Amino acid sequence: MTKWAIVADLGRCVGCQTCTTACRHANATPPGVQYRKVLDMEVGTFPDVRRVFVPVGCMHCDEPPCRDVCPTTATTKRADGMVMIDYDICIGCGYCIVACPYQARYKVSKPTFAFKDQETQNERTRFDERLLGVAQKCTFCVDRVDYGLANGLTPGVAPEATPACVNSCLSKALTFGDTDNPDSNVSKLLKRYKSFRMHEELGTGPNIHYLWETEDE
Amino acid sequence: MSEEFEDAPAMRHQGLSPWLQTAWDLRAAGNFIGGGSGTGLLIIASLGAFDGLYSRVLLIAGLALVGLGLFSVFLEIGRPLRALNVLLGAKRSWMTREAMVAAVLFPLGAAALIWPDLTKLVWIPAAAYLYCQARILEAAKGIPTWRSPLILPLTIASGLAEGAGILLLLGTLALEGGAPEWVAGTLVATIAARIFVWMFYRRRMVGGEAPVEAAAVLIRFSMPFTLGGNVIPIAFLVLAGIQPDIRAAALAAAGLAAMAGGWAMKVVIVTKAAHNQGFAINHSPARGGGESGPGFKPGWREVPKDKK
Repeated sequence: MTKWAIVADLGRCVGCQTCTTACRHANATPPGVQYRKVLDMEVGTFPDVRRVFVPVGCMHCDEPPCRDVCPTTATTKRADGMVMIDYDICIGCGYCIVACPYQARYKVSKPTFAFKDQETQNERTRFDERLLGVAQKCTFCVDRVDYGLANGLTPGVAPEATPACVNSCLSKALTFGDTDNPDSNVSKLLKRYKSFRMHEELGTGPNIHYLWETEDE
Repeated sequence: MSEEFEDAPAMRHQGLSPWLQTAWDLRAAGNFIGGGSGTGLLIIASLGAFDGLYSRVLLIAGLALVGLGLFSVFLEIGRPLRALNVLLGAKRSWMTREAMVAAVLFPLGAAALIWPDLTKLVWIPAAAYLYCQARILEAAKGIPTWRSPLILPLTIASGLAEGAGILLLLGTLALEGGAPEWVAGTLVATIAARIFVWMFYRRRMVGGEAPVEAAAVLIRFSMPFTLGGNVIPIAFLVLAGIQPDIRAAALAAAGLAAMAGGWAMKVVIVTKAAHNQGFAINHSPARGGGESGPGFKPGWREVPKDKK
């Protein structure tokens, strides 16, 4: 089987928000909607204070609560682990939004653009009316992944088959790959370094893994 | 927030600590209010039918409340024209199951208006509907005050208390001879159950199962709820027992207070103490300093496990 996941190296992330910007550009998300974002945390008490940047988004959970509550079957889970939304079925009840422990879902009722009523070229090109009034979220750039697979490319290795956020990461903090493949890039990272997953105690099985103790190279 | 962004999820999404969810507002609370009170009333009226109670007013009021609750949800969804899609997810979603039970409850309730004997069956779909409502909240894993297992008995006990309260109220206002004697006893029992579960629920939320801000909302609400929604109705019932002159008014007031208490509780839980999970890390990374550091869970009392 295949199970797509992102590994985020907290030691490498510099909080530059390039992944956030790349995601916004790739998906033309409206103001306030960020499929990928990087949290800026200040941890500890003086004098032992450290700053940590934590990339978050849809975790494409093994047991997604958003799918379990969806009354319309709009939210589904693919065989490769990606949690998807069928925008043509979703009624926009918002149940999945309150069910997601990662605050990864959004709902926008009317078109909004970065510069008020003035759409940018990218916003015009990528605007999708089907997303109005329904739930939306990160798709792991499923179109790129599927394109890559259809053309014999390896997602996470070939840029054309890799999510925009991972491609854009200038510190190589983000890695995308198949955790079910023991030889994949992500599996090697997870085998080599210590990692945790956010809110794992809720039993959701999130598929963004955070490396927290990596070696300096 | 500026006007042009009014429909966009605001920059609050940048926060670390749990923030109050805005996906479900008073319209969603209206479903739990109407559905809980309506089914509570139908359950008690239906069981009362075994004792000879039959009133079209009670049946219509119960069905109307459930219908109003469903209508308020209809007003909340982003694509109302697709509302029937709600029936597709029976395999997993309690919201779908609630809608399907409604499809049994309404025809059966309507039939009971014509054939009184059918009233004795109404409690079955009504109880199922109330159970579905409780499970809807419990399944929302993103909201700590909803996902508690205690939300199940709390929602059910409150629905029954609200139903008994409405029966007392309508009994005074619209039933010849008033509500049967046993309704007051039912109200006391259901209120006792509700306040008992509430105490445990509140304790668990304050004890660390809910974000600090959500727990603070529950703490602030607890005393007014305990007194206004639970103690005062019982005081009115006692008054009705010892002062026959004002018995009818006291019974109606008891019912009204019990119902209002349940409604207020649902508004608070659904719209005011509904802070989401927020974000957390189990460990902070070693960067520059050489050693990794402790975790971080802003907005919560509990501290995640320290570095290993």
